[in-house]
Amino acid sequence: MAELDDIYYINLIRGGDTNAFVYLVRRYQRMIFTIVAKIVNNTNDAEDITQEIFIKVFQSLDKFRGDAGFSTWLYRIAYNTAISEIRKNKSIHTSFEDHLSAVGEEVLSDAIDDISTEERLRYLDEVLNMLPPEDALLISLFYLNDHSVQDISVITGLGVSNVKVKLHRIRKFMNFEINKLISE
Amino acid sequence: MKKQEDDKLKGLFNEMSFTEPSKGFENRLMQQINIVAAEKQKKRSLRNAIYNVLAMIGGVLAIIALPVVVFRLSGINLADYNYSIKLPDMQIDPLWILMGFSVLVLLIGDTLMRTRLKKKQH
Repeated sequence: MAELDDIYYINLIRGGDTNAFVYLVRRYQRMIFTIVAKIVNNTNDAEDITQEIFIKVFQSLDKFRGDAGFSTWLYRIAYNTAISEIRKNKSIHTSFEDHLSAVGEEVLSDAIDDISTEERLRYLDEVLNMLPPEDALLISLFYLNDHSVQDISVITGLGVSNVKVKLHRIRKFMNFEINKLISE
Repeated sequence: MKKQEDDKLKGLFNEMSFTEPSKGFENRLMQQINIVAAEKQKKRSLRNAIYNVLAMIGGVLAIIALPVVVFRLSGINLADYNYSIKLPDMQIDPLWILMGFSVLVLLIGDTLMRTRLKKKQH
């Protein structure tokens, strides 16, 4: 139903009704802004990046052919724009891969249930910030936005098996780091 | 065990609250979108104008080239015919031509003005 609504507004915009774009903005801005804000940790920067994403979506709307769902197509633009914008401002985590190889298979400790929600979310924010932007976006799309591995494969341009491997490694790293924060 | 571990991480993400952009964000964004749309429209108009000019030039060239090609293919040579395009020979009053030309110019001017007014109203 949401996809049908999206197509209706896309047709209006293509017909010259620019103001119809506001409906697409209202539907997706919360999710995009939340994911971007988690990674850049600065509201102004997150708003600038979200704005850039929507402008790119508007400019590319003529190229949307409907092969994939509109939301997948929109998140693909969001992913690519966010990565390039974040890379401009954030140093690239070169040591992450080395660090990851040193992390063994780890399960999130049961002690996580004993700490407050506020504390848990602070740990999650901290660990998300340790990840390279691509990986932070990947895991956020998977968990926060409930995208399937296939959808993430289309959004990121990575193969399905590659996405699975990446998600496994990111989860392993996050579990390890969160456990470390809990034990500290 | 693995499933439980995944769910724990998922549970953590589920606890996250969605953040809203600031109040003025939507207005600022739509202003930018309208600027981008205006630029897009300007580019489209320019492209259409170029296509129109090219189409007109092509049309004029076709008007000249088609008879030339047809005459050549049919083996007709205009030099063989005895004709004159001088006005006295054609027995047409130049005043009629001038009047016809004036009406044509007025019609073109009227069409252009109507188009401009329509665009302004839009």
